[in-house]
Amino acid sequence: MQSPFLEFDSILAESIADAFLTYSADASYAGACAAPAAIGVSVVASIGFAADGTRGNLTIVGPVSTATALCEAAGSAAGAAEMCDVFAELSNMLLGRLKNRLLGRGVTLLIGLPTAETAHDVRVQAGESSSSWHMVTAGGGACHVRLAACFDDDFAFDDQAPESNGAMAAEGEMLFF
Amino acid sequence: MAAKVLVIDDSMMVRQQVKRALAGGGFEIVEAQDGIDALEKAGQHADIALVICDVNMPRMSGLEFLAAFRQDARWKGIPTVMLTTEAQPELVQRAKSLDAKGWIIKPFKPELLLAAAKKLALVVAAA
Repeated sequence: MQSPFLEFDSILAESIADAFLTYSADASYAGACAAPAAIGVSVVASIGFAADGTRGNLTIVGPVSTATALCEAAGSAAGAAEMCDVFAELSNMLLGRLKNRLLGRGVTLLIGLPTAETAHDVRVQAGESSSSWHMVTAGGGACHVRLAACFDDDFAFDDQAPESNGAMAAEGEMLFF
Repeated sequence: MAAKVLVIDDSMMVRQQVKRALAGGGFEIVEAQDGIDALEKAGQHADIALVICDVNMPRMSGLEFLAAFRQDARWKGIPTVMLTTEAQPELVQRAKSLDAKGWIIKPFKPELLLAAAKKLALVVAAA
């Protein structure tokens, strides 16, 4: 059996390309990778989560050139506010996908609100939690996605969770009441 | 006169995407960045025909907004569609209990949103 972190991480890896395709038709998942080197002026977005027995966050880092391309592909101006907004929404969508996949395994994440900023020579430091980096190419450049999470000893998936605990619908779908 | 749609999302890019998606339907868009802003905008636009609302937002969430919106007799019968990354059954049921008419999971398909907006705004126009 995989560790809980590896299960979270594999779900994230499967979701990255789809989320970036929302903003860039050429988005492609490039695989797990090492922490990126400092890349000059960057856009950074981060969003936290928590559930019974686990907590962590998701961070996206990318160069301004890629953020600019994503904004332009979305038909928007590419000011600092727009670049931060795109990265914040991407982090929100990625964590939303992770949450929706985990619902069917009996884990209900509470998701925070994303924060984003532009910064010079960003280096995301490893902390006490398990973490991983993934690379995605989009908008003619590369972005990096980091998942960090820690788990209490008694954390467990509930694979007997009733079907009704799963996500109500998939991304892009609509429920009419 | 164009039907007014109140679009509530803390992401300006999402608001722009919704605005572009609805452009083909001739809708007039009123933007708000959270629930509190939305209640203020609703007070300024008595002829709102449809509300499209995110769930997770600062200051006042989409479901908190919907609860407040439904308590005001001025907005009785105005259809609301939730547009969010969330698909948690409890949240969907909460929206349904507050008389939301739909729940769309981001990223949305523009043609689906436009079709839903046309259908729901027509109901208000016909009332």
